[in-house]
Parts: sequence; C-alpha cells; structure tokens
Amino acid sequence: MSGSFYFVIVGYRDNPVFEMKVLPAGKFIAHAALDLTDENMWLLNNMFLKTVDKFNEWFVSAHVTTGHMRFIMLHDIRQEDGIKNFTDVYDLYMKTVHNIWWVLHQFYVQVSNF
Amino acid sequence: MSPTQWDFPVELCCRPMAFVTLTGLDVVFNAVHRAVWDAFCANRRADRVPISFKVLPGDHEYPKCRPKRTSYEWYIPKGILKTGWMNKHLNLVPALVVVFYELDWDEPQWKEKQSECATRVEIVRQSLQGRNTKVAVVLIQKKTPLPPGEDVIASERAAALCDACELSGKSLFVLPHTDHLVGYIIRLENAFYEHAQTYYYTEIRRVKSHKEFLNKTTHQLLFVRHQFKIAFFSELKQDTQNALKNYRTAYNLVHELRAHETNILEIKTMAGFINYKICRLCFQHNTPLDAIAQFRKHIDFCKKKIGSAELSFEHAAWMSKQFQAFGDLFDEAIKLGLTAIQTQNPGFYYQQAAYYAQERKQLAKTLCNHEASVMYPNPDPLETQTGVLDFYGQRSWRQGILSFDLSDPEKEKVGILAIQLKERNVVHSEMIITLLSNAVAQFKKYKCPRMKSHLMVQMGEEYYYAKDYTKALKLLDYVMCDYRSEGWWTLLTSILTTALKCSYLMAQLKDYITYSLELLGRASTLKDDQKSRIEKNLINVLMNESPDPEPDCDILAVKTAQKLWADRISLAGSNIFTIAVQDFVPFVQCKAKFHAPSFHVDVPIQFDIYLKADCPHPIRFSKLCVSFNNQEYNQFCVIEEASKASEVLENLTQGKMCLVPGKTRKLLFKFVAKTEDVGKKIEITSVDLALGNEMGRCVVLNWQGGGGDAASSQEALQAARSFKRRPKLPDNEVHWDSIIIQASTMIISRVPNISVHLRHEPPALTNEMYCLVVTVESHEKTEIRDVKLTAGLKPGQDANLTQKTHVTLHGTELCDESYPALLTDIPLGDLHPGEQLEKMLYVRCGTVGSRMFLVYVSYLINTTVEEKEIVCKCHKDETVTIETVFPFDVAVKFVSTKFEHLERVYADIPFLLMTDVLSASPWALTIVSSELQLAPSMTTVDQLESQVDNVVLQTGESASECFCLRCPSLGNVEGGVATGHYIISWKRTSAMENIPTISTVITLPHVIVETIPLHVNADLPSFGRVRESLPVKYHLQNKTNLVQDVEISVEPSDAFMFSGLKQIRLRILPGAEQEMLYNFYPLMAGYQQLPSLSINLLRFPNFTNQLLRRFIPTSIFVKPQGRLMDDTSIAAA
Repeated sequence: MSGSFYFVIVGYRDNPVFEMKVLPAGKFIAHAALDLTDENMWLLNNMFLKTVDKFNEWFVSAHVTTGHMRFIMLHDIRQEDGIKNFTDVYDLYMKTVHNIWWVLHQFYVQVSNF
Repeated sequence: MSPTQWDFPVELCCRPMAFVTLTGLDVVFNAVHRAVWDAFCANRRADRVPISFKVLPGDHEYPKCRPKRTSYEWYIPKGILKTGWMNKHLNLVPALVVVFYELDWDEPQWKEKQSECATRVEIVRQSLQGRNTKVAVVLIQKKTPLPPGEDVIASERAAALCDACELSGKSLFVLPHTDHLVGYIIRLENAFYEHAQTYYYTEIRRVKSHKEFLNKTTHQLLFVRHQFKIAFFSELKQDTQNALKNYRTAYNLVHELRAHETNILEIKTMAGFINYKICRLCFQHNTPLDAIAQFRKHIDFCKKKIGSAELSFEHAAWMSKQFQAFGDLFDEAIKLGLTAIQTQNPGFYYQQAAYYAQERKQLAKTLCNHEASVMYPNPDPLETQTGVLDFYGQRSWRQGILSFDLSDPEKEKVGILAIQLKERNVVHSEMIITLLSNAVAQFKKYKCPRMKSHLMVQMGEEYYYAKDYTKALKLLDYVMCDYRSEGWWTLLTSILTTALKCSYLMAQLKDYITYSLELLGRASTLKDDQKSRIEKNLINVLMNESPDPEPDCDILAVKTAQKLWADRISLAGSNIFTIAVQDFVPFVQCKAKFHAPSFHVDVPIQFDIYLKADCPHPIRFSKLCVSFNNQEYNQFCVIEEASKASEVLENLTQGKMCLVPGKTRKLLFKFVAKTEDVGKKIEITSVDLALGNEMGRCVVLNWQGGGGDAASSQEALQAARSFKRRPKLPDNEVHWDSIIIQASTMIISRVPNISVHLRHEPPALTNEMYCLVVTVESHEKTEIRDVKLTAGLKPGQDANLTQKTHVTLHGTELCDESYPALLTDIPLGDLHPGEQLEKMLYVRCGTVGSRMFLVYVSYLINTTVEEKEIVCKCHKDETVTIETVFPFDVAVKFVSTKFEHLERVYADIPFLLMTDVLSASPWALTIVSSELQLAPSMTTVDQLESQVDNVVLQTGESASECFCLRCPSLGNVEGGVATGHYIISWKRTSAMENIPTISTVITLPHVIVETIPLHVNADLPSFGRVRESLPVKYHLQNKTNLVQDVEISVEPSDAFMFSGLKQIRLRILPGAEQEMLYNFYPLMAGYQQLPSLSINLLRFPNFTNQLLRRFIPTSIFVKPQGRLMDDTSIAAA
C-alpha cells in the first residue's frame, strides 16, 4: 500500500496535538522517531530536517518550529519534494498560532494538497 | 542456544592465525617438553606474534594434497566454497612443522643421533607430500651454547646436520634448556612466524597462478573461490589490507554470478560470509563508516533476492542474521573504543534483525501451517552421507548440481516440505525477544527513550505471542506510563488492549479490572462497541462472574483461562480491590470542591463531589466516602447504597447512585466543624468510590486529594487556556472542565457581634499616665459570657518599645519597670444583650514615637448549627496608633549680672542661670512646682525658691525662672563644671485630682569656669543728669596671690568732664581691694558713653580692656537738666 501517511504535530511536552492519518498503523514509529528528531534538531540549522529516520518501509520526515513544535510525517514513498508541503502546514500553523483564539487542543489545520 | 543453520561458522568469525605444528614433544611424560610447550601456549599476550600452535606426533598424517591440476579445461566446479576449506587451513594444514629433538653438540654418539633426527624430518616430509609446508628442526640442548663462532665443533656439526636433514641453515634452531626459556621461545616463535608468512605468501602465489587457466563461462564460481582463498591466506599472513582488498573483489564477483532459484541461497550465503569479513576488517582498521557503507550496499543488493517463495522465511532468517551479525561487530568495536552516537548505534541493527525475525515468524506461520497428519519425509532429504554439506549454501538433496533446471521436482518438493516442517519447530519468539532486548539495551545506552519504549512494546507483544503473559504484562505495564504521560492515547490504547488480553488469560483480577477501567476511560480511543463489550465484562466480573474472552486470543489459552476464571469465582474472601487512580486514567472522573475557601464555625461546611463516567453505559456505584485530614469528619461524608442487590435493576438510570455517561453528577455534602478546629485547615485527603458490592466483587477507586488522575492536570491547563465558548447548559448542570478542584478549606471563628470603642486624648506625653477608655457593647441576641479583654502594646513591634511601655488598670499610682506592656485576659464578666461596659486603662510611655496598641475582646456564646448546640468563642480586636511627645521644651542659659550671654563663668564672680519651659503639649499643662538641685560645686547667691508654682501653660506658652549663682574657684576643670538638675513636677490641667504628678528631671549643662587676675566692679547710680555731679567708684580686687602692679588711666569723653586720677600706677596686695573714686560731670543728655577706664596689668598681659568691659558699665543714660521755671509753668498750666 503506497501513498499512505501519518501526520502528527507534537507539542512541547511531547504530546500529540494534532493527528491526521491515511493508514492504520505506524504511530509507534512516529513516537519513537522523536528521539532522532530531537537529536537532529540541534545538529542541523534548518527547520525542515528532511528524512530523520527510516523504519523498514517507513520514512519519517520532520519539521521543527522555532517554538519547539514538531511536525512529524510518516510516509512510505521517499519524496523530499513532496514533503516541502511542510512549509504550507507551517504557514497555516503560524496563522493559527497568531490568532488570539488559538486553542491548543483544538488546533486544526486543513491539509488539502496531500 | 545451539548454533542454527543461519549462524556463521566459527572458522569464519575467528581471527585467522598462522598454523604451526610442533612434533617430537612429549608433553605428558617429559617435564622439559612440557615446560617448552607451556612457554609457547600459556599466557599469550597481544604483543606475541599471532600463531596458533598444536602439538602433534612426529608421524602425524596431514590431509592429503590432491594432485596438481595441469589444465582446467574440462574441470567444472560444483560449488563456490567447500565447507571444510577454512577449517583445513586454520587447524589441519600447517604453515610450518617443527621437529624438536634432544641433541647436544658434544653428544658422544653423534652419528647415530644425527641420522635419527634426519629420519624424523624425512617422515614429516613424506606426510606433507606435495604441500609447500616448511619444516624446521629445534635441538633441545642441556648446555648453554657458546657465542657464535667460538664453538668450532658446533658449527661443523650443525652444517653436517643440515646436510643430513636437507635443511637450510635458517631452519635449524637451538633451544638451550636454561633459565631464560621464555626469552628463547619468543625468539623461536618470531622465526617460525617468518617461515609461516613465507608459506602463506607462496600459497597466495599458487592460487593466483591458477587464474590464467580460467575462463569466464565455466569457471565463474572459481573466480569467487580463488579470490576468497587469496583473501583468507592474506588474513593468515596478517596482511589485512590486502585481505580486505581481495574480499571486496570477491564480493563483487559473487554478485556477478548468474543467480537462479537453485543457487540463490549459495550466493547469499557466500555474499553474507564475505560481507561479514569485509565489515569485520573495516572495524578492525577503524573505518566504521566504510563498514556501514558496505553493509548498506550488501543489504540493498540482497534484500530482493528472496529465492523460492515457499521458503521465503529462509530469506527473512538470513536477513535477520546479517543485521544481528553486523550489530555484534559494531558492538564489539565499541567495546574496543569506537564511539557511537544516538543516530548510529548497534541498536538499529538489532532492531532490524528483530524485524526480520518477526517477518520470518509471520512467513513461517503462513507457509508451514501443514496439517498435523503431514509426516516428516523418510528418508530425510536433509541428511547427507557425511552429515555435512560439501559446499556452503547448497541444498542437501541436490549437492553439486549446477543446472538451473530442477532435475527431480518430486525430490525438490520433499526437500522443501522437510525444511518447512523443521521451521515449524523453531521458537521464533525467543529469537525475536533476544534481539529486541539487545536493541533495548543499546537504545538505553544511547539515550533514545522513546525508541526503547517502542521496542519494549514489541517485546511485550512477543511475550504475549509466546504465551509468557507475566513477562508481557511486566513490560507493557512499564512502558504504559511513558505513553500516558506524553498523552499518546492511541498508542496507550493499543498497549492496554494487549495488556487486557494478558490479564484475561491469566485471570489476574486486579490487572483485568485496572486495564478495563482505563480502556473505558476518556484516554481510550476504542470504538463504542468495543467499550461496550469491555464494560459488560467488567460488570460481569463485579457480579462475581467470568468475563467473556477477549477477541483474537489463542483458543487453547482461552480454554485454560476460562478454567482459571471459574476457579477464581469459587474462592471466597478478599474480593475488595482498591485501585489508586492517580497513575492512570479511569472511566470515572472525580472532582471535589468546597463551596468556599473558608467557613465560619457556626455555619455548616459544604462541598460537592462531582462525578462523571466516560463509559458507554450507565454504571452504578455502591458507596462513596470522603476522607479528611481530621478523620472524625469521615463518618459524615459517606453515601452508601441503602437497598441491597434485589433492587439494583430498578432505578438503574435514576437515583444518586447511578452515573449516566457524559453527565456530571453532583453530590452535596454538609457537616459541622468542631469548635476546636477553628483556625485549622480541613483537607480532603482522598475520595473512595466503590463499584460493585461485597456480595460479588468490589472495586474501590481511590483518588488522592480532591480527585484528578494522570490526565487531568494537563486537561485543567488546557481548559484554563481555552477561549472556547461552552454551550449553554440547563441551570442545574455544569461543564466538567469548568469545575476547579478545591480540596481544602479553613475553619474560622464566628463573626463577633459586639462593638469596641476607644476614647482617649492623643498624643500621649512622655511618662504621663495616659488614659485609654475601652467601651464594649454587646449586640448579640443572647447573653455573652466570659468576656475578656487583652490590651496593651501590640506584639511584634520594636523590642525596645516593650521595655519603655507599661500598662496598668490603676491610674492613681505611677507604674514602673515591673509593669507589663500587654495585659492579657482581664475578665470583664458577662454581658446581656444591649448592655455595655467601660474599662479604663493607663499607659505610660517612656520614650517618644508612635506605638500600636491592641485592644482584643473575646467572649463565649452558645449557638445552634444544624440543630446542634455549640459554644463559639468570638473575638473582636481594635488597634490604635498613639504618638508620644515631650510635654515641654526646657532651655537653660548662663548670663552675667549684666544679662549678657556668657560662654564661661568666672570663678567667684556671681552669674545668672535662666530656665525657660516652653509647653509643647496640645493640652494645657499645670506646673505643680519646680526645683533647682545644685551640684556641690555651685553655691547660691540668694534663695532658690520656685517662681513658677501652679502656673498653667497653654500650648506655646512658656515659663521662665532666674537664679543667681556663684562658682567658687576650683582650678582648671576639664569639660566644665556640673551645674545640677532642674526638676519640674507637672500634670495635665484636665487630669483628675488623684492622678499623680509627674516629675521630669532636666540635667543642667556643664559650664566652663575661668579665673581672672583682677576683678573690677563699678558703683554708680542708675542714671545721671546733665550738669549734675555723678560719683563713680571702681573697686579693683586682686584675685591672685601675687602683688600686682596696675596701670590705670581714664580716657576723656566728649560727654563728660570728670575729676579724679587720670593716670596712675599702683600696687595691689594679694586679696586686697583698691577703690578709685571719680566724679563725672555729664555735659550732654541721652545714652552716653562713659569715659573709659583702661587697666593694664604688668604681670598679666592677657588681661585686656575687652575683658574689663564685661564687668564695668561703658555707658549711662543722662537725663536733661531739669528746668525749675518750666516745671512750675507746666504745673501752673
């Protein structure tokens, strides 16, 4: 099954804030990938960390905001270009955060172009 | 674990070392030989040359050498590498055979011995026929050899012996059996090592020489084989660089082979071997990145080469082994000093190995699910004649067959069946768990906690599959809290589901209940139908029945579990389970909230317990009790099911004891606090909610404090931040999120209903008995008893104030130091409603400044709360700040008898002391009396009686007194002479008769006393009149005990004529007085300057006219001449 993905935004306390998935499993992998995301975060200068980890058929891409929110994307096709969509998500995220009505646990982003 | 088919052979994994055999040593019976052997093999440290030694008899048969092939033209190889080859060169075919022989140079029977030695060498040579193995001879000698060249016999005989044995001089050694055995041995083995290297070098050359005979079509396998051999010999030669180079070539050659289903296992096996060697050497050369790169390339090459679909589990097993072996190599390198990092450590390889082991298990499960009736084939197709395979990676039933077509499909089928049936017996879980736990250890070491948790979940699941439920639960339970604390609810749910299965299968009641509670809770992401099923099971368990089995459990295990559950039921007793909920997220939420942060003791304490169930169906509870820090209140806060089981089904959805999903249930509790708890905090220490009852099973959910579980603190935080508008609810309902836990309250005393007034006239005057009138009036409806007053300086101020403030109830006597600053608990008796009483207090303040005074009235009153009579202690306090000031300012000054200000006084000459009392009090003061107490050094000139008795001073008014004093000569006193004290007795004019007067003592200043040699004073009238004689007499007193020469002159003045001595010089005896008489005749009216007297003392040049002017007048008022006629005319007019 290709084209599956699982997207999660992880908050400061390592809690999932927003989840979106097009596959049944793999969440454990996303959680476990936080170790490497946190490690890479300090090694690289970019916010987009590209593929931080690989578990068998799964690729894990990550994006870290300056506020230490982590966007984790689990996908089964290697595509660095496709993942550039993080910028779009980041855009939406920033708009939402700057909205004074922002509510952390209800934070919802429409991701249309996946 | 015994080695499996997939484990690498030992000879592959060991470090190859040159093989040298030692013959002619009798290590069992000959002590010398034993010592020699020990020196070779015991305690071999890393700095010794890498040789593996073996003792063999002189006539040992070495493996036969096959005849040299002259042409490869018709030769077709049957496989890549023979299974025995590595072992043969490591342990069977030596690089060098050493013949030990005991022979001294001065041996008498030299000839015989020499030929015996030659025979031995010959025997060895024969058994090595056709091999390039070197032979060396070591002579064990008893005597220490002479230095080379000195022993002529020795060199002769050595040459002879070499000839006889056909040895070169380099292959003959002497080993003197003396003290320095180890030293000789080390030199020997270094020589052996050189020979061995030469041997392996020639072997490499020999293998290389075959190359030119090979062709690419038929000898592809040989290319790999030869390359591998060259690399292996290089390793034996300890030339690891070349070994690595050749292994790399061999690796590339393996992948050039034509792969087919029939030989793919062989290719993979060899590729695996060579890859292992390459990675091992890379780590050895400290180039770990090369090792990792090679391994990645290897995996990329091979992972798609699955081979036969029916045996695909073999591929998974092979993959798993590749990763595991690499992990081991990596780990070993780290132990030798390599540094690994979070992102690159052996854990990842073990994890992959585990992954493939899991895949192997899955594949085996689908491919090997033969009926029980399928028998293992006979004869065993996996058996070979020798018991081992000829070539690595070949199938036993078609060894050496190179054809890609299957010659015998039937045989193939049987073979595959045999492998499948064997696979069925493999304990996969055990392997998976071992690999996972290896990985866990690594991730723990490299600080990847979540990776570790993930693997532990997998381990737990694997234990579950392996039916080791206890271990599974232990692991799952351990990781659960990590996922819970980070709020990954879906992951938590998944773990809980497995844990629930485990606890079901073991019939672990408490665990089963705990997991059910959480799976029904809000943290669970299960669908409603699942929750519904779990809730049903939970209710069954509470009713002392067996739950239904969990889905997807092993049928056999379920059968066992059902029996266990049945046994559990028949057991009586210990059916109450208390579960502390703060560490997880149960399906009932609880919040306790006191109505107020504090309660007066005369009103009942009220609080609400809010309960909310998150399960799909309503649930009943049997008991709710609240515990407090003061356990006496516990009894008042219990709700218990009144009806017994019979009525349970009725009112299921009504009544207090039923929780409806999603609805917040509020339970109000009320109790009366104890009067002795006034001022204390009442705290809810725990809330216990019992589900089920003691007839069946009972679960007590125990919340610490005022409720809340593992998830609620975070939820509270989010609720606090949330701007979300909550939908409006009916009045009697509340939003769960908006309830804030309030688990403690203060008990405070009853509100007093009396008034306390203070009457006084501030400010207070220093040291006076300041009167403070306290009025207490009761506004209570009933009589108040035991009214007590505490009054005085409020504690907690400057400590010095306490020393200088005194309070008394009796104003008629002055209080002293012994009186306290605060009077406590002065009984005032009882008061009827509306009655009032007054109490006077007197305060004496010894210092100025402001003070806070406290007036505190307490009393007892009987009151009723919730039909309960209690005695309340009430109190009311008032504070007042009172300023203390000096009543008056006293100024003192010294003046001369001419009222001129004096800075110093002159001995024996009278002067005036003037006091000036200025009232600073806003209230009128009465000076009762004043008194001057002179110091002994002072004497008075006239009476010292008070001139200000009973003078009343209003604010700003002052009273002055004047005393004439004299100070007898005392000589020169440093700092002046004490004058004495001035004492003023006073009181407020408004004060009552019986109030004592206050004496204020003022210490008078010291005065500097000076002696003068000559005192002059003048006698003259108070005024003169124009043209009337004005007699003036000057008295000159000699105050010294010397005879003084005095020059006196009088300067004329325009306003006067005068008669008398104008200029004179005279002598005055000590203590004597001289009078000078003058008659002045005023010429002008008005205030006129007198003719000035000028005195010059010859002995005291300091005595100036300036000083003189202090004592004698310089001017006088002259009245105009009276006109008698005019006077009469005026009178006439």
